[in-house]
Amino acid sequence: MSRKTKDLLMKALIMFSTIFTVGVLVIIIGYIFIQGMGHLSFDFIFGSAETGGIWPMIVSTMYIVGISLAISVPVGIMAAIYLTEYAKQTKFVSLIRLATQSLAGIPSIIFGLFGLALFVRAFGLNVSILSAGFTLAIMNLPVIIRATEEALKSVPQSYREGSLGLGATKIQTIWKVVLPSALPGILTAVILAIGRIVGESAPVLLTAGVLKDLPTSVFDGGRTLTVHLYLLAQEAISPEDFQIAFATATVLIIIVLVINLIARFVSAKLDKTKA
Amino acid sequence: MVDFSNPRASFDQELEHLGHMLNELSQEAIGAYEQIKIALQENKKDVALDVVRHDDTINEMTEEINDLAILLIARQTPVASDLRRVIATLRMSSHLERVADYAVNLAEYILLNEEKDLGTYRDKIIGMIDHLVIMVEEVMKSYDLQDAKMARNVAEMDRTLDDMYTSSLTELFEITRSETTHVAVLATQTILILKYLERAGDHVTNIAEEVAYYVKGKTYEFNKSSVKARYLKDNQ
Amino acid sequence: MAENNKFEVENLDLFYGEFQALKSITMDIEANKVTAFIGPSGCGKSTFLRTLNRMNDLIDTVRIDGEIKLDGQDIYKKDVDVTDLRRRVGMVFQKPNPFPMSIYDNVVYGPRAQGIKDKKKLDEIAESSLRAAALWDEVKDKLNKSGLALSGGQQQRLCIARTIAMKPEIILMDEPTSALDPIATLKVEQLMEELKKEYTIVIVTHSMQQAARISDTTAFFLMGELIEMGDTNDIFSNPKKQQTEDYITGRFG
Repeated sequence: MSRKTKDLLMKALIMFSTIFTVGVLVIIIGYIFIQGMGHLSFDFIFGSAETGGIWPMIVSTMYIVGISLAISVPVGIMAAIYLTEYAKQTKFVSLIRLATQSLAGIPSIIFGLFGLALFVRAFGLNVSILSAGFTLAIMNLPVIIRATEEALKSVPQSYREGSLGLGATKIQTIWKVVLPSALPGILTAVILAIGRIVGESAPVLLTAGVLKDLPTSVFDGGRTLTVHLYLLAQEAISPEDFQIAFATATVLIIIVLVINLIARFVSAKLDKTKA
Repeated sequence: MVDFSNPRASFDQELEHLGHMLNELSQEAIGAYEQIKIALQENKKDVALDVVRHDDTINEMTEEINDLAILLIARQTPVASDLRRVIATLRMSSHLERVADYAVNLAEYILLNEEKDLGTYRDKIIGMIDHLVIMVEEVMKSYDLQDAKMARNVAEMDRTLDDMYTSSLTELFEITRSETTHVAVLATQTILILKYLERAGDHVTNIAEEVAYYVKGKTYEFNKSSVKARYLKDNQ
Repeated sequence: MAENNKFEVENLDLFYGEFQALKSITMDIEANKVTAFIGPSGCGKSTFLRTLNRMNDLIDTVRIDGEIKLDGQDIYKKDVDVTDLRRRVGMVFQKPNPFPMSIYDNVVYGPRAQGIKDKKKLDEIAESSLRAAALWDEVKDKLNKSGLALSGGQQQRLCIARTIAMKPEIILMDEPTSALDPIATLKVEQLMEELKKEYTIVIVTHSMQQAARISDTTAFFLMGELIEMGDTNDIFSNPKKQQTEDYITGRFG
């Protein structure tokens, strides 16, 4: 085979892979949208469970996303700051790093089991949005820590030196120069975390339950969109049941998409390194 | 406020300063010859003595030019016309110093001889001094104006000085054959003095060549070519 | 003599772990002069510069012996406030490193870090610093634009302005023009000539010509040792040590 043919073949292979990936994605999303769009209506989105609406599930999902982010983002960022900016690079620190990396790879159901044991039972929070929020926060911590660490490491050392050289303290340096520069990277981590939270079913099922009512407080149980979708699909008999499941899936995808777009927009606004 | 229009303003200032120093040196050399004139015309030996004493100052000035030129080369890495300017100025200063040295020889001549004797050849000497001073003034003007043509003209002027020397030579040579030792010695000394003035003219011609080198970036030999031309003409 | 010294360094040793990077450096740095450090890569000149504002503290493995006095006070004493020291001893780095924020915010970064909040005062500082760095005319209409939008030479002058805004006594410059083109380099050099009237400047440079052009005093470093220090005129026309001669004539082997 001549070098030219080899080259051509390789190029074709790469092209095919790309088309395949994008194609599959388009087909899945398209299929879900086509199946689901028919059932989408104002009443479906904002109606209560009794009338066949999914509003309680949307609210439960938002609550859980909010709670777990409120905990995992600040804690994760601070932990990452400690690991990159303060900790001397000792064996102990590399052990912490190894532990967080391993945690990121543990199946989510194990976190669910842990949440069930700790928050639901031991802390007596029962099956509630709060328990699920805590559980998912812990599940997301390693991801956020790792991504933030990477983002902090990618901030040029010259910024730190410049700031310290101007008589700024370490905290001022981190707060005013390092973190703003790392923000786009951190935001990407948060988007990924949101995706994971919205997408999880097993740990949520174990810690927040399946209650279809609109939660009145975080101590109530609640059913997230994903869990709802899981149950709908499992119980579906008629084609209409499937349509409801697809409509829920459409809403889920739209929510994730909107969050993604907002995050991208904010990230672009914050990224001052692009002059 | 820093003016960025010329990033090498301070270097330019130093180059200017180097030029000023050379001009001052030329003024000193001219001054020495003016004093010699006064000493001759008014029979003032103390003025001649002053010229001898003042030679140290002239040597110091030459050394200062030397030092500044070396520092400019070491610290400012001059190139192209800047480099030629520094190098030309450096060499011009040593020629000027030689020109001034001949004034000292003249001063010694005045100091060694009797007043009445000095009158004999006064006009010849003063004539050559006047011409030499004009040459120095002109060559410095050509340096300030960076005018190679003007420098070339100065080299031409040297021929007149040469002629003045040669014409006196025959006359003085006759006198050296005189029976009176005193007269013969004086005539011989005078020949040497006139020769010094003629040599000073050659140095001014060298200075003119340096000006031409600085301006044009090429080496010229005004002096030699004229001698050679004359040689060729005389031996046809 | 002594009262004109800004820094007095005595028998300074510096170790990176086991490696000794500086060997018994003793030198005085005079006020309102430009002092240049020259020497081959890895000779310790940058490391030494960074001991003067304790920038080496950022590296865990660094150990220092000896004494550095600033106006007679040992800057490595336990009770010395490092941030305060760095306010007095400003630093400009090799690569222009404006922060990813507006030109204005860059310049007032230091004063803000010191706690100055008064807008009027900050405006004043910004203008006077940018003027002193000969950048005001070029940026006065775009103070809110990002500092990263400037050209390399302008960025470096912005960094100088940022340092001046701290009203330091000394400005350390670590190869400040090595990332700049020749014209931008000459501009920064011109600026230094202006700045030395008010500040003491210590500059590390790879370019011997630069040291020759701009400094009053030159120090030559080799393998962690200070080989020779003296009047720049003398160093470049008649150095006393053979190693200095070999280096500045390019015969270093």
